[in-house]
Amino acid sequence: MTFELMMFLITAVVALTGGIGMVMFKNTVHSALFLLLNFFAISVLFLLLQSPFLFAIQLTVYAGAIMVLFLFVVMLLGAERIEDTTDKLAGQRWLALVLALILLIQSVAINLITGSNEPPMQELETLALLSDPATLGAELFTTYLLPFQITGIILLVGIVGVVVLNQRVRTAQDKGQIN
Amino acid sequence: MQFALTDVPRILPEILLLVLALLVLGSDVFERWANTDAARTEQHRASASLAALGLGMILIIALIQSGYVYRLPDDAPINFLTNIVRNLQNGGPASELATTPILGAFATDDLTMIGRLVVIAAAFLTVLLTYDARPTANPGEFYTLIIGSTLGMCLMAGSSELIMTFLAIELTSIPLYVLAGYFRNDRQSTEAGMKYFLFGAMSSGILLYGMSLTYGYAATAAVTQGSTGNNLTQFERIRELVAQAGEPTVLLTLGMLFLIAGIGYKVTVVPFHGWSPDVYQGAPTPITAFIATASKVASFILLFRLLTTTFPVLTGAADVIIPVEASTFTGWTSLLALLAFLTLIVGNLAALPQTNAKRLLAYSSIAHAGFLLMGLVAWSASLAMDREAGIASLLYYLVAYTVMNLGVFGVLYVVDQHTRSDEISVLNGLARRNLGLAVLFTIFVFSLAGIPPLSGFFAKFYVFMAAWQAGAEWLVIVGLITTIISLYYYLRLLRAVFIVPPDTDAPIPTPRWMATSLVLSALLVIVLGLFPNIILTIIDNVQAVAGR
Repeated sequence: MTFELMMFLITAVVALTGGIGMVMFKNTVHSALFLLLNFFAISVLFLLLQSPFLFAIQLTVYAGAIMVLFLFVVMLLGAERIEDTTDKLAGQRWLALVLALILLIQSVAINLITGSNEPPMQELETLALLSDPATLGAELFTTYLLPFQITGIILLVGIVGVVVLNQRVRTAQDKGQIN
Repeated sequence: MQFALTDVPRILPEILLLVLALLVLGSDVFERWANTDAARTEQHRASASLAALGLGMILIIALIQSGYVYRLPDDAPINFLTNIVRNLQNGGPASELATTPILGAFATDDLTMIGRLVVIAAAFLTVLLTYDARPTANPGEFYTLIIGSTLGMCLMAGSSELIMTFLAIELTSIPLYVLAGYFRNDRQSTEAGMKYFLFGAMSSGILLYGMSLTYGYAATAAVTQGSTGNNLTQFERIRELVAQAGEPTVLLTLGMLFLIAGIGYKVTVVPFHGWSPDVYQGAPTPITAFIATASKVASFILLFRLLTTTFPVLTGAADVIIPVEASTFTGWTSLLALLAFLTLIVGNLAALPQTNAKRLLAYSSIAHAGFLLMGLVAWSASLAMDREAGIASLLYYLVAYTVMNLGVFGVLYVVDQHTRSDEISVLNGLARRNLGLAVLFTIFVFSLAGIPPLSGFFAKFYVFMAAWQAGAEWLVIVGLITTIISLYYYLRLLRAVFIVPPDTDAPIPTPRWMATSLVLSALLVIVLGLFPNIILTIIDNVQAVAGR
């Protein structure tokens, strides 16, 4: 058993534990924390696949930003304990289970048919170069400079929009129109 | 490929728009903040005038850069002024720099330039319309969003790469969602914002799916041909790869279909038009005018560039019905001909029973999208000359469509400001209450209906001619019939204005800047109609670039 395979097995077990724990626990905060565990494990998987950039992104964006957002929303709404209500869509769980099974079979089948996990065509060095954070950063600031900047402008405009739509009503005239 | 210093003047209008947006956003801080009506009006006017002045200046700079009005001769004396003009024009569409897009992502050719000019002018007229209006909440943000959206439209007009296209569409749409729902306490406005957002999100999804399929095809072709590089999202590159790969596959066709559907939402082509009547009716009227004109212009230019540079392989005939054979349905031209047919029929027939003026004009705007599509259908012509006639007619139609719709929604806005309603019945007896406004309204409506000598007539005429030459005779006949149908509902508007007696004879005032905006639009409608050559000579420049 190689070191890589051992690492993979450990991480996979941790990731699965996180995923199952997230679904099973009743307390939303616990679920969120299990999801965090899952994110960490998956980021390690990325590292095993030799893509340090995805590893860093997974940690900062998912485990960092999105999880904090989740926890904020959950705690702000006080929705830690959602009582077990009946499903609005009957048979939702079974449907989800069946679909997940189909997905699993599909991915296994594709893996068996196409056969290998070897990278296509290019040599490993080029692949390593492509997943290198420095290369990605250089690409963002040269080839994709314009799209990169425009993304920034979109975020700005989005923030302005959110602020405008969430402002409190100020004037008496507007107050008359509420509901 | 790297961003060079010489690329800065090429995207100068966009950079200036961004600067203006930030200025308007920031300048709001320096205004008097109080809850009195006077203070709010002052705050509103400060933002509006800054936005209008800025947009006007950017429009002039873009005009100078384009070189359409005045082109600096090579032997001009060297001084401060000529240096500025020369530097500007070196980044313009006439310079040799314009032949390659910036970073492969943003073309600065004549097509972009015309799109920019139309879009910025539309934004300028829209802002002028709102100057005298009842003050909006947060005026700084309101105008920032308008300018941000204008920036997105300029980028849409010039984007020649898939990632850029998507980002430009989002930058255009996101401010428009917010603006459509700007009156949060008005249920219709909220509904409009929400509906626009949901439909827009779905269409973005469809567009992205089409892009991923197209990219998948291009990347597969690149791998099999042994070529590498990270330019596989550029329209030009995809076209080369498709041409080298030989027969286009189902995958590519599917990708193209999804791309057309995604952009079809933005231009309100019939199977994808469902959102537009509700959004047009609910959104604040100047924003309706802006959505109906500027965003459609940008989307049509994008659609044209995308289809003609990426998928010339998939061009086919203009027939879909006659002769009745399955094999005649070929390429995107047949598809667009079919869509144009549906759009003309549904748009014009659905407009007939409307009682709300904005809703009626929304359906009329859908119908106009059908006429505009005919300009694209002309791309199926075998002669390059006929294809060029198609793009020229499309661009002329876009310009005429923009000015007349800005005008007609503007008149509705003036009436709406006074009567607080946009039913057709509030137009009753407008001729008696404000004759000048009624005359302007008549000009715009006649132009929409296509009555000579207004620009709307020539727009339709050129489009029909281009489509006829391309072999879409049946479509032209449908267009003529639906034009006659459309006369009915346009004349219903005029009947209300001139014949039906009003409830009161109280005059409707037209504030100064609103009147300026309307008169400017009306002048353009008349001048472009009487002397179409003014603009057709400019449009002729486009063909050199796009008409390969």
